Amino acid sequence: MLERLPDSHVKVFVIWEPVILTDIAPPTSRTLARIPDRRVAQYWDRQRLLSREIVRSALAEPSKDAHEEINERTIVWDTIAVFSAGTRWDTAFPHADYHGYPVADVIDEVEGRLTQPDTKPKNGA
Amino acid sequence: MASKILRGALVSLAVVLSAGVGWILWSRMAPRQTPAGQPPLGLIESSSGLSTLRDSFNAASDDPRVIALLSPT
Repeated sequence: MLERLPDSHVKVFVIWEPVILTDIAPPTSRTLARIPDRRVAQYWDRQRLLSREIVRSALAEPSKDAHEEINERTIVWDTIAVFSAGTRWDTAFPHADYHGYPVADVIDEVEGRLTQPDTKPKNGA
Repeated sequence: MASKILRGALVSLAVVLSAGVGWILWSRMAPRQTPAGQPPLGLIESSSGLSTLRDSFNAASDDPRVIALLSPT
């Protein structure tokens, strides 16, 4: 997707987390190389802290995504979210302008969202 | 005859266990280099690690951002 948006000022955060039995260690260089774009920052979240934070924030505001059933044991995985310029993460994890899963199925939608005017950078680039 | 079968089974078990141990060691000791131009692999190991991610997210607030949660395997 990023190679099709070479001039986009998007910043991508890839969070790797253990979900299945074979996820016993952080991603190897080969795995990290799957996403080579310079606009990407990659993280290893061994305790799935971000997933817990997302679930905690979603449970605190259940009206936002009423069609999705989540509980405290939900693991947010193989999920991608888009945040427009200006969105900040302060006390609670911010509400995404778009989120979907699995990533392979929704990547085209994400690309479309990133080319929409309301997700463009604030400086108009 | 029975001893041959047993020996074969033990050899097979040893091979499988060795392969498993080797895979685990490789998984833990393999290099973890991010591609050129990217920052080093960040570690989220505590609430402070999550704060680092949050700060990076907010530092880029002039731009649209994408967060993807993935599994390594």
